[in-house]
Amino acid sequence: MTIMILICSVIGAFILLDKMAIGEFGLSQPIIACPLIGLIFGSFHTGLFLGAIIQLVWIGALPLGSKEPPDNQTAGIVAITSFLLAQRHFSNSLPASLYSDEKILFASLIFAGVAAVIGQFTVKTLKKFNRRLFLSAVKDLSNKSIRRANFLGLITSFLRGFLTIGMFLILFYIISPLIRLLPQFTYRELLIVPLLISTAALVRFVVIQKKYVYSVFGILTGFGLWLILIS
Amino acid sequence: MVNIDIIKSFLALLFLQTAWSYEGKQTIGFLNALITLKKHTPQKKEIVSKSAFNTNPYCTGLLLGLMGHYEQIPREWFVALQNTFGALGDEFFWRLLRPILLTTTVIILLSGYLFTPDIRLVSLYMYAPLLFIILFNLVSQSVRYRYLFKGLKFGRSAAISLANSLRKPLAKLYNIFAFLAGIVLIVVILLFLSGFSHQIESTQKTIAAIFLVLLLVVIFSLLLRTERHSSYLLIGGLLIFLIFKLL
Repeated sequence: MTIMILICSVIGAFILLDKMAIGEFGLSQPIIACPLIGLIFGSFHTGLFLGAIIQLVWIGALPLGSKEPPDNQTAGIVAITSFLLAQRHFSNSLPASLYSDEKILFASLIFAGVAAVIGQFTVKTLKKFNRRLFLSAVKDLSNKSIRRANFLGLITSFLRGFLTIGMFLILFYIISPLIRLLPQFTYRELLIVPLLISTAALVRFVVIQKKYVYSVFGILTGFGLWLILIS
Repeated sequence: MVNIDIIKSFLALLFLQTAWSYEGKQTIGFLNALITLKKHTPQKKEIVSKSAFNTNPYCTGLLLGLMGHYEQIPREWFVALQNTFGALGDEFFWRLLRPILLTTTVIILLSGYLFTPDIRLVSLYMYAPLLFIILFNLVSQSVRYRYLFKGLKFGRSAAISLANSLRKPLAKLYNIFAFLAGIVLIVVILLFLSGFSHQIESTQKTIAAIFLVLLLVVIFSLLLRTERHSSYLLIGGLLIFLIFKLL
């Protein structure tokens, strides 16, 4: 398990570099990161499912200006890696009747909620820590000191991701025996709360922007498509 | 400047936010890209370091291009450009383009869950994330690269061109987002009904279930006052759901 935690933390930390260190390609978004990690460990479909629902919860979290939104990228990676960790742990140590993927998914989702809050805090802390790098680079403004500060920023960013994910995985491993006490869920039941949060965020957007006509048009289109597909 | 130099500058811009700090913001990342330009001077470095450089990351190509185009650049103008493209870029990329593409991707996936009983059977829908990653990068990275090139070649007119390109589609994008919000609402209601179909036997109960969903959405929207509340709502909502299941 120690090796699994290390591997997951390293992969997760590399993907998290996309969030604020390399390129902002969108690879760290839960809808991409979760299936990607799932694919590596042979649980692509669960990754896709988790990615979709975690993406929905924080659909309204936007990095506008200097504002730091909840860390949905860390949340997504923590959710899928903790799911994979618990699944492997249980399949080796427990009879199949005592655990299920749905029970582990439920626990992973709660962990994702906590990870988003803690992740936001660690990003803020990292940005405060980076002050030293800024001051060292602008001291003489030499090319060497600028490159050095930028490279160190990459290292601190990687370490932030590695430590945050690693800490959550260790914590998840410690409390994982409690998962078998959970009641049985279905995949669709797990969608309810995240779906309500995302719909609420979208409704807020529509109310703030006063774009009611287009929303009504969207509702009618969705309903029409559904009628066509079921007929 | 030959193309290989532009590619070097573009690659350096990818590391723009690596050492983001509250004091310097993107200054180190931008300085790191600036030193790849042949025309970088101590005066330009000084302007960047004193302005606490911060703008939308996809618009930095233009600002770097302008730095390379002009021998000298007034500090006030440079700061005004940062603010303008920070606001326009954030509105276009963060508030509209990315959420629209993500919402579309999630709608496609959820439709998969709506029509298939087992998530392992969702087949074609699984390619939906590719839609997001390809379209988003096609727009965002091409803006970063193209306007680096245009800024270097045409100077000020490239800034006007980018501002127009970002400003013009905003109204349409707002409408598309509102339209998608409507579709999400209907998908949620249908998922909710399909998930509990064994408990819903009559039309009256279906109507009651729809009203329940709408009521819950209204309650959640009232609780969702800041972005951070999403995390608390997820934890609290799941725990309440767990209590209901245990009862």
